[in-house]
Amino acid sequence: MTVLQYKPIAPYVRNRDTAFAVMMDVVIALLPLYFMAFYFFGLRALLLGLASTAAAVVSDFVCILLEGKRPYLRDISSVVTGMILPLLMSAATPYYVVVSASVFAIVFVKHVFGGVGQSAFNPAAAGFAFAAACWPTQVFSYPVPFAELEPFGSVSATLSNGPAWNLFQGGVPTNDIWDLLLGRFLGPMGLTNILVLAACLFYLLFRGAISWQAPAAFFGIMVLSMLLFPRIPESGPMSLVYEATTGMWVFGGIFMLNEPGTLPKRSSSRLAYGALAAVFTILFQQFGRVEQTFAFALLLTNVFSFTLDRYSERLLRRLRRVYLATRTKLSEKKTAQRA
Amino acid sequence: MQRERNLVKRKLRKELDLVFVKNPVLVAGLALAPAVVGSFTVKNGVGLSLVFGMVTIPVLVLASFLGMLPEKVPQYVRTIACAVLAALMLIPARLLAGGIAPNLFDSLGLYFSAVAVNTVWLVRAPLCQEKKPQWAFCEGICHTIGFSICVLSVSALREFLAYGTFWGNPTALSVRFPAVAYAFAGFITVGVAAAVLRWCIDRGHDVAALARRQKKKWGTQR
Repeated sequence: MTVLQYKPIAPYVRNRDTAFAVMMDVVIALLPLYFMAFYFFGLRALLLGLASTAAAVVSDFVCILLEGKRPYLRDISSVVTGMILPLLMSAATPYYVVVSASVFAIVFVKHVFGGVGQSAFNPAAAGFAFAAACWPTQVFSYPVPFAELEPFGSVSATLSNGPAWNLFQGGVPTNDIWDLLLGRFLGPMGLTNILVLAACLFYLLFRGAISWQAPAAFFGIMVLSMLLFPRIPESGPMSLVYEATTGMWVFGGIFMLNEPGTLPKRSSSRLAYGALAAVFTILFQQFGRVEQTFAFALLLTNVFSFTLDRYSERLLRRLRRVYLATRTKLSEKKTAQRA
Repeated sequence: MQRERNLVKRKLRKELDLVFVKNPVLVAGLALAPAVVGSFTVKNGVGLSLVFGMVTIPVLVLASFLGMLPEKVPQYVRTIACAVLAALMLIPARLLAGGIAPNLFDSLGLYFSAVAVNTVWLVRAPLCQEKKPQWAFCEGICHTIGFSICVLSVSALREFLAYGTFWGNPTALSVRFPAVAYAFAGFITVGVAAAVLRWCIDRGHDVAALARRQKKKWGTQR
């Protein structure tokens, strides 16, 4: 008799929605960021997103065909990866940088490890790390908001470093606090709009597209560390505002940390995963060599995802055993007392 | 006489398999560290191949001679003798490397000396003790050719993508990927090369099986 066995494959989505619905929610949450990027930087921002998404989808399709599988149209994880990547970079980034990062993320990070839900590393983070290692000048040089950027070819506008660079050097940014909160400063396309990012976080949490454990632990530790141990000569709250508005960690904590393929399965391990990601991010901020370090910290955290799941399972089993033993002892004691 | 000739042929084919079908780096996964980290320019690739050959071939031949010694000589003494010879061979290799390119030794750095303890001879030397010296020499040659093919192809690709050059001469490539010179890209390149080789070997087996089947079919029809 043939016994059909159900073999669970990541992403482990436990709510009533399918992986397609979850990914679609993420795509919807990314759209306001593209709208803001279009508002600040014009058509080039949208075209970068389109180029990156097209490159990701095409390379995904080609890899699936090479693997001898049939393309599954409801798998839009490559669209999410393709949409996230340009938002992490400058609006003046050349098209070849964005396309190369997308292709690298899909071919060498997603498909080399077995495709959707199987990758050991976050594809978007790996793609960004690749682009940052290959072309740091292009990735970390930003145009002024509302600058007229040419939609195609190279950009003639003046590019310079943003406030994240000042923070990285140990200095205090000179930007107005309202400009920082409204995203009117030099920075990557999708990371500067802190208010829109907060709305995206609530939307995703409300829709159940992301679980609360990893972001709670991550943001909790990040906020605490910035309040208590600011890396610039400023008060804790001001340091938090500067770090949150200029860093990649807010965007990453919402869209990249919760990627279902690399996120641990258990709630307790998700808490530990978020905490570990925060610790690595802080360490990379202190000792890293680039201004945006979240992607590198996340790649390192991804390595521990499976281990955290395994150890949390062991720990919970041991705790359950202790609890059961204590309960049995107590009930025996009660029975003895009654007798 | 014919049987002996067939035996020699079979042995030779087995040794020649080390070049492609049982490539030391891409199939057996030996000597990965220098192949991955050190091979980011063609000059480095040539230097690594040179040192590898100059270390591995004499050590395997020595291991074969050591196999002729009485069993009283313990195994650890034989291994130490091989390691000493491997380390000594670095001296002529260094002189030759300076002849090929003046800065080759400096650009290889640690990996030049690390080849002296490559896993190919560490794994194969105990097995070569049961072989005749001429066959150990043949094995060393085939290992060196296999290693060189892998390292040279990987280093040529990495130099082309990372610096847009070949042996230091500029090429037509306008877009460069400097990260390809880093160690992680070395792992990816060697991994992709291993996958391509595996695919070619499998295709080769398929074609051979098909040819055999066709031959058998036609043979029975006739």
